[in-house]
Amino acid sequence: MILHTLSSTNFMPYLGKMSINFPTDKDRNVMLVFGDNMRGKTSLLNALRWVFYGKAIGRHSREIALFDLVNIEATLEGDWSIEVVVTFEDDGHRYEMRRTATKRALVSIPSRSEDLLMERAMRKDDIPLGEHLIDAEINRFAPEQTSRFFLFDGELLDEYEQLLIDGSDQSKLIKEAIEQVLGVPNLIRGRDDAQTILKHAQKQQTADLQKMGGFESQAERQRHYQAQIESIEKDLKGQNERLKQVNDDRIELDDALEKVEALYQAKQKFDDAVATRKENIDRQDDLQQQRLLLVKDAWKEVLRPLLTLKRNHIHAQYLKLTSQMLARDKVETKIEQLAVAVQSQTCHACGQALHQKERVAAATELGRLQAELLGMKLDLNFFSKLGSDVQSLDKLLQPTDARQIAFIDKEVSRLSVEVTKLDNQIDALDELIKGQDTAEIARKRAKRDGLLKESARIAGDIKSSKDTLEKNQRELAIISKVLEGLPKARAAKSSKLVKLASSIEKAYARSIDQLRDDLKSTVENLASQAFRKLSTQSQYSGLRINGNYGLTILDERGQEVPIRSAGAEQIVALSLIDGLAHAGRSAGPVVMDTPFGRLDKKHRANILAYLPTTTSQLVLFVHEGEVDRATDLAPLRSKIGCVYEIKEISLRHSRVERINQ
Amino acid sequence: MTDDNDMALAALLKAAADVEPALSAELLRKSFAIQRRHQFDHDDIREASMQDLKMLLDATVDVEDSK
Amino acid sequence: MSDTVPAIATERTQVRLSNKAHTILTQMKEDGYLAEMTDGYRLGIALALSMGVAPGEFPAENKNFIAVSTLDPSGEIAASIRILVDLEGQSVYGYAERLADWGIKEMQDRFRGGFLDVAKLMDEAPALPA
Repeated sequence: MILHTLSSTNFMPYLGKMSINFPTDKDRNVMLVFGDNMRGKTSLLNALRWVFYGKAIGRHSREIALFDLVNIEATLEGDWSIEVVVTFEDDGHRYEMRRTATKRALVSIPSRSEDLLMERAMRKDDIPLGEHLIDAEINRFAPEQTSRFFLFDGELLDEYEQLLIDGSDQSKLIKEAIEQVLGVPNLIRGRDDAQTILKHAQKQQTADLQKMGGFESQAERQRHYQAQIESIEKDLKGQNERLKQVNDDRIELDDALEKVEALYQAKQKFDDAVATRKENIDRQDDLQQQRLLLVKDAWKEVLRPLLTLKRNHIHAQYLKLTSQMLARDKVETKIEQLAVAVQSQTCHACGQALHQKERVAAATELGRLQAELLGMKLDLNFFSKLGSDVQSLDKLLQPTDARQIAFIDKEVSRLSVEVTKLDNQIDALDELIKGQDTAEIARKRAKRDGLLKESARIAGDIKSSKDTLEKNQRELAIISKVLEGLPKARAAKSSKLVKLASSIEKAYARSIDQLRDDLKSTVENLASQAFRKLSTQSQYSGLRINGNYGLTILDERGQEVPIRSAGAEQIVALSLIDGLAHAGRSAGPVVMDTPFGRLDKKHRANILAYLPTTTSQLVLFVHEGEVDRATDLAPLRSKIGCVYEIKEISLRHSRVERINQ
Repeated sequence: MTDDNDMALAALLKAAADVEPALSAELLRKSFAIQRRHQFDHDDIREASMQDLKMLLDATVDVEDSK
Repeated sequence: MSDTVPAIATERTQVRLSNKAHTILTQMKEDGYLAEMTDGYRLGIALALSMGVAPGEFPAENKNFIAVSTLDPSGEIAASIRILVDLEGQSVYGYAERLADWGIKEMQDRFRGGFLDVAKLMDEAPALPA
């Protein structure tokens, strides 16, 4: 399929008419679309989706309501009509597909999607096609189930990385999409159809056998198991319907809760802030009480420095006087000894008689010391007062806890700041949740959680039913086998049909695994080839595929490389897509984001050089700031057919303009 | 979209050769063509492929009977 | 200071507070900075003492405040004053009154009726040479 033109009126942000031409030259098959406007890019993709399939996709792959597709500025002017037209060629034919939506006749101002009437028309080689033929045409070149690989939103790359997460909802969906492309569902349906036919044939066989003599017991048993199976299948149908309902309800609640999640969180924060504030205030009050008690002793701490100094001074005096007293004592003792010596004319130390000379010396010394003593006056009262002052001061200088006041003041101050912050937070949060029914939100959450449990319970029941079903089916198969061996039974037409349907069913059942295995090895080879071209690491030898079409990188020894950078993930994902494109379908147009977010220059260059070769037309959405127009796009230069730019005129109005390279 | 269908058909023929060698390749091709024709049917007309397959199998049994 | 040794004054049994200081302490208590006005009285005494001021005459406009036995049950205030000041026969509690008055007004000046930063008073208490 080769796209030619896309034009629209009042579609999403494109107020009024918008029109772009796709490059049709085989050698210049790249179209670049520049823009900061993320919405503008998604809207172009959605224009293609909507014109083909009547659907536009928003965040999280959720469908955007028809009502929300009409440009808001246009609706403010009272213009509720939107239109998208695409022209293309395929298999030698020219096509024009048109889809419109307008206000229904009796509606004055539309307020919901039902107020709009959607219509479509297709022309093939200028001849209008009947409405009933349009789907078949579209299915030939761009079936909706495979549009993932054709209308390739950059977010899809992230989704592919989900493939590595086994069992995630996303990975299941993507796996299904891949297998759809690669033909697996045909085999699954073949098996299912054969099973249905087999069941009917077995019933018919039971009826026939009952009419034949000699097979009553086998017929009865067959009938019994068939009845069991029918009953279980009925239960299963009911259980699956219930499961779907529960899941749908849950998803609806999830959507509603997502919208108000912010509110719920805000209420939680609000409650926490109020509680913390109260704690802080209570703590402050406690601290104030402690402070008041400590203030009682604060006067002592005010005097402490001065009193300490005084004490040191007095103590020094005291010590000085003490040493004076000791000195005086010494002198007195010496005087006493000398007086005795002079009088007794004997040495006080050894008791020997003193010579004349020694007596004179002793007397002289005695006189000197007696004179010295006279100068050693001591004020004992003063000495005593000093001692008692020191004692008093020691009592006054006993430690108190009043110094804790500083820490308390600091803590109280800190708490005040916290309380102010909390007050601001509380005010802001209150504004946010004012008027909202937060109890209702809590109720919805509880209900959603209940539905989750219910869903798991039903899934359990379904499994149990399936197990029982299988058991019964096995029993039935045994009976069939027995009957096959009996010539008379075998001859009945219904028996022949049972045998044939059973063979077909077995063949298809086995083919599913066969195809999956074949596909995996094919995709693995093709993805590896693409990977080698895209990766800059020469020591990577290729990729290995897992059950969910996830891929791991192999090094030159064929060992798995366990840790990959985000950039590597993107390369792997791109390789997978390219491998699938080659394995599953003919190269068709690919519309995608530049997957440059996490890639270095070398990888980007590789991708840009490689992509145009994998597809008939490549439309690349380029985000400003992500690439350097002058240098990064150099590998594409020779392949660029046209360049557009999305300009944001206002929040609700964008424009696409063609620019010269 | 012929490539993938060929792969699916090839897988079917190979699987049948393994588990049900008595099945005719011609029958398998015809049954597969039915699936391919109906592959993008909407759910409400899902039964169409099953009806077509039943007709094919009935016809096959009838042909065998008449031999 | 007179040349003659003054007679030892009779000791007071009650201490007084000037009207102005009374107002100040009342406000401090109301503002939650003091558990009792007496705590502020003692702080005033300590502040004036630590700064080594020679307080002036006690203001005429005053009233009785509290019994000495309540103000200074352990005699620590009197002991502190006696150790740091040469009373020259003055009544120790009479001196204490004048110190308190000066100290309370000084606290008012410093903190302008706002937060009574007791921690600061303790930190900045001087140690003037005796």
